[in-house]
Amino acid sequence: MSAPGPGRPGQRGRPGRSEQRGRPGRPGPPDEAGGGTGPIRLLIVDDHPVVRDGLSGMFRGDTDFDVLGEAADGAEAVAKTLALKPDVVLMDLRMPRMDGVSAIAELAKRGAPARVLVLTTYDTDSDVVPAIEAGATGYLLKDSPRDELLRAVRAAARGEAVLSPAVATRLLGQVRGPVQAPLSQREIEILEIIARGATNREAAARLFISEATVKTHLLHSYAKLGVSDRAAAVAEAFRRGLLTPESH
Amino acid sequence: MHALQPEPLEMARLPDALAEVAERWSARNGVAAQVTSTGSARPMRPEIEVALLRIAQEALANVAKHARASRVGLTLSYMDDEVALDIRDDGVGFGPPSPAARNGRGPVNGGRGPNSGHGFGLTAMRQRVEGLAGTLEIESEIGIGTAVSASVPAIPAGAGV
Repeated sequence: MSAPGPGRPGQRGRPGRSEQRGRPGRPGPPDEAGGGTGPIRLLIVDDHPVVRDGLSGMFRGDTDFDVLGEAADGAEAVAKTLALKPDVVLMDLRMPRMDGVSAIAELAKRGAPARVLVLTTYDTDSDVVPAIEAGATGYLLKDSPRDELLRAVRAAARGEAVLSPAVATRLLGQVRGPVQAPLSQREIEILEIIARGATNREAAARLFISEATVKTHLLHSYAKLGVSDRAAAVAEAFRRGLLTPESH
Repeated sequence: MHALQPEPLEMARLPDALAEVAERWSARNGVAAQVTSTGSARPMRPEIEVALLRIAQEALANVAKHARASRVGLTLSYMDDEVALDIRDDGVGFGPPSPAARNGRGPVNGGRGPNSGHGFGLTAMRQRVEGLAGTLEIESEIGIGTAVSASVPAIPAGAGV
């Protein structure tokens, strides 16, 4: 990369971009927003002033980002997105007047090119899926580390889908459909044995059954847990509280 | 009393029928046989229950004849869409067929293997299971024992023909 352009972008349009390219007067194509050639222009939407200030400060401290403004609810977010044309909108979901999902849907309806990155406290299914369906590019939790947040905004600006791991897991579970059947007692029993490091053969010996049946139970557990291998199955079973350290 | 009944399945569901078969076999052979059922036991179509019961009887006959086991476990696993029956013993087991046996030039494992003159009834068992769109697995290790596992689709009694 060439040396950063002089000064902070102050003009309208895409000053940072043309300065860095050293080709003033030649604006980049509009769909190249955030393509790595200039600061990523941000709008921060949250109903809590403290959160807005924190986020603004975080991004203002990095020359890769240009915070264009803030909004305190969905309606204001829509208005400011249309007026300021940010590359990325950091959107809270639960806000008075118009909530985040409605704002995302409204922006999509109006064809706003801004990428919306949902930044919220909640990672429940009822929040994630509607936001993604409405057109959000990504979904992050507010307690994400700073670096992850900056990386996510850069990725969102490039148009990449961004999901924090916790959210991705939930979403995958949803897409996999209603295989939310509870694990049987036997499946849990076998996972417990596997969690202690036993092979299928050892688990079979212990239960005095065939290895084939151990394998069958494990495969059923994988499907129910939405995982594809034993390590992930054990981890997910612990996460769901099906296995506890005491039982271990 | 139960022993007088000619056909356990006429009066009991599969777990009970298995328990009875195992009890009689155990008394006859002096080897402990325990029946375990996991999952939600529910009546299956008669041909499934009969096939699994026959497989249990054939596997137990093999154990009596060849395994020199001190313990046998019969486990019925009711799962969402399949039912598995495992018959595992702690007997002498057997290894893979010797090259000579594979070439048809000699007995397997000194004539005690599954492909020996006795046939172990494995072919019949396999046909029974495959006739129900199921699978039969045989796992054996010398000195550890043998497990026969029959798994068939769970079609509940009363389901359409």
